[in-house]
Amino acid sequence: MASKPHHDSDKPAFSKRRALLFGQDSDSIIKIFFGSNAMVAIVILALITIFLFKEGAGFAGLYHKSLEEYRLSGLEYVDILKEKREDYTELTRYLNDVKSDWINDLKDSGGSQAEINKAVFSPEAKALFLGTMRAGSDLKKFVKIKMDVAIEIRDQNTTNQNLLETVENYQTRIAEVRSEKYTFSPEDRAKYLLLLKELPKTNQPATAITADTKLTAANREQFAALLEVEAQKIIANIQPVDFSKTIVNVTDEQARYAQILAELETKLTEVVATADAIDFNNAAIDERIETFKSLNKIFFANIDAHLAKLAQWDQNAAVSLPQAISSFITGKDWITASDQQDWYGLLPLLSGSLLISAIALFFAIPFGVGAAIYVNQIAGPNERNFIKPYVEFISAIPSVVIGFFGVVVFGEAIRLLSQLDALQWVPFFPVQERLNAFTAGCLLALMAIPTIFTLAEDAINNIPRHFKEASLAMGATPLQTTIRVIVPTALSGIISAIMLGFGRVIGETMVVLLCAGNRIKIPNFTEGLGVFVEPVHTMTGIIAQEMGEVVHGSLHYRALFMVGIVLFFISLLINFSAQWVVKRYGKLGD
Amino acid sequence: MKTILRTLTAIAAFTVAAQAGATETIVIKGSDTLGAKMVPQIAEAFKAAKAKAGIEVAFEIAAEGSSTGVASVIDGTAEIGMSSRDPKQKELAKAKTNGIDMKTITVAKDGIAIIVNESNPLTAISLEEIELIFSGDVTDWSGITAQTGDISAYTRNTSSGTYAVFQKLGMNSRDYGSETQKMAGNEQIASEVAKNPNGIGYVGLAYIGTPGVKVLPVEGAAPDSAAYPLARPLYYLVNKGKELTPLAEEFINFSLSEAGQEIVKRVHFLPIK
Repeated sequence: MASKPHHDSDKPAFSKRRALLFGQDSDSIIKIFFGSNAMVAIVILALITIFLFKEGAGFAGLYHKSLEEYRLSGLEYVDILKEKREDYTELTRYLNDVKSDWINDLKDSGGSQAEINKAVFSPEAKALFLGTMRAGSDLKKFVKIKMDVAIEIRDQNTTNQNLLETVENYQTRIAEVRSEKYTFSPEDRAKYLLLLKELPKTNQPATAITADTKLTAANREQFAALLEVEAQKIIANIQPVDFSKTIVNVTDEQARYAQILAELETKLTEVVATADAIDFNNAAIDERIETFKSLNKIFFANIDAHLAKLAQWDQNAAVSLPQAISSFITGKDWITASDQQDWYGLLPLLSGSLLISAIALFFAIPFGVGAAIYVNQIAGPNERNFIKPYVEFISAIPSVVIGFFGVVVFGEAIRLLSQLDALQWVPFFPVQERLNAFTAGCLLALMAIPTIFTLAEDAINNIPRHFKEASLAMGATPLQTTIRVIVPTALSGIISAIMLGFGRVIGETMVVLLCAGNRIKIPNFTEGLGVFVEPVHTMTGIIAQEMGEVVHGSLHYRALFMVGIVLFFISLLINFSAQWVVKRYGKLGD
Repeated sequence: MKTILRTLTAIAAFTVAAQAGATETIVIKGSDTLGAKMVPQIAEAFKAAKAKAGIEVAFEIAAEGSSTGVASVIDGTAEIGMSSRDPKQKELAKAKTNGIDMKTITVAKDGIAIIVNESNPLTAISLEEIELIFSGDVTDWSGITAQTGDISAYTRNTSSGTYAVFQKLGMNSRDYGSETQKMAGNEQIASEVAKNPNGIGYVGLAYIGTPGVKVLPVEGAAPDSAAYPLARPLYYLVNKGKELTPLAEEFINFSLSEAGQEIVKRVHFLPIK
């Protein structure tokens, strides 16, 4: 019985006979299916990349043109004027700061609100504080007038270009209408009827044309002629701009400007002298008033250099293409929809994104990596079966829900907490804004933890068993084994997990849009830890906020795509270095 | 949220359309100042009035900002556009290129109210002070009042019509200071100001009732007075070259009628007459 061959065991596990479809057996059909899926994914990714670069590509040229106009129209000259105005504003801000110190000092020494008001609004105090504010009104007016002139020139030029484009469109349309093959489209028919309505009675065609009338060649000719008339009207509206002549209206009156500044100097000197009449009753404030006086002196001393800069300004200096690109990458301002000049500078957005990412990683790394080590090395099976799915579940929460939570609960809680008297020793408390980099960073940490946790846990899990066994056999305790053997061996994997977590954070949009406070300004790093609770704007946030409304193909539109390209490169770099770390250092264990 | 609203109205319009074959739809797109409350309520009233006459009307209202209103009239995806600002030169030129003459119809006026936290001692504000605050010339309250603290100035974002109009009416066309924070909408500004004792912001009149905020008269004029300096017209935009459907025409007339203007008043805008 035992020697009798067993028939079933001779049969192969899979039947050799396969169904045929279009001459292919199922093996190759499955192969083609998966192969083509992979192919489609690659092609789509390539198309997205190409689209991104295609849309962003026009940016340099457009921005270059905008900067050229900025220079030719004299707006750049006005911005030099504005520098002095800004310096003056800086002075008034400093004095205001002194004033707020003074008010706080009065409050601390137990003055009632009425007493404070009496001191702050006393005639001497008004002479100083309001006097400083008012001293510059002539300067402000002068700058405003010059700015309006320059803006008008630039706008006229823009209008001309738009009109020229319109005329060109008319020309092609007229040519189309005149060609034999042309038939009236519904839009053209409507347009024709409208033009006819505006004609005097004598020029109307003999039979009234309604929506159903068949239109003849004569109608076509009349339509073309009417369009021609419209085009001529537009051409008549174009007033050519000669920048070399218009610039005079901006750059003249330099002598008057010098006089305005000289008057400002006398006024400020007079006003500052009144400071001695006020009794601040506080040495620190007296000292700050002295500083204010010396700041004034610096302001006066710089007037000559400022005037020289104005005199030297050259309307015809060339703007190069690399200059346009570098003013994007190193630009400190992102100002859009401005009457004066739109600026597209990356730095405020980049620094905001990086600040938030730093905060997020600061919290996510210890939690993510720590949890991974604990779950893999220390926890028992029951704990593991609970913690692992639980942490991974966090990534299932939609980011917009986390964002709402941040606005309504978390940000508010932080602010209320920061206003507790017991916590005033914390350097940046109390927090004024509930929407800031810290709020957004903490919530992003929550989103990065599952990524870091899962990947780090995988990396630790991949360490060959004999490492641990050898270490234990040498007499090391489990904790020593974990810290001295397991973690160092898995380090490359852990670092790559952190990097991918970073990628997750910097690409996140919804949370930063809702919680970061959206202030487009480079965070003030001189404030120490306070920088973490400043409102910031981010690269992803600005794209989401502004992309919906920009005119397709405009400079602003392309600038947003450029920001997208920068994000793309950052993600690419992060992924690349994560892979590189694993490749370079991942072999240690083998 | 706007997208959700839009989808919902679209779905509603769709289901209504599916039920009664003869239903006509009016597509309205543009400013969220008009589209948030005023136009939907006028639309409801119009629908009710038409239903009495046995005509089913459906509306598709998308409120995504004035720029979309202009754009959708240009590309013909909406019959009526809504805008809380004058169309820009660039937009008019683009419309002309496409053979469209834009026509604006004023349906209401909107005041932009300046709000501060109710704990703020200010009781009135001048245009000059508004310019100082929002252009960033003054960044501490001590520059304006006898209180101290960093000013948190909240503004709308660049896509909002209010953003540009406020720049023109309140700031002498100067740029916003870099300290200002760009919020997603009126509601967010009102709630931030309500929570922040050093906050100041501007909102549409519909939002001045938010608890915790205080409205400041500008140059001595309250927002509902005729002399209020920060008021702007609200427009419907239509394509002059194309005849409107009779229903859309009727809707516009209804908006301008007494019944329509009553609704305008109810949603805190100023009627045109």
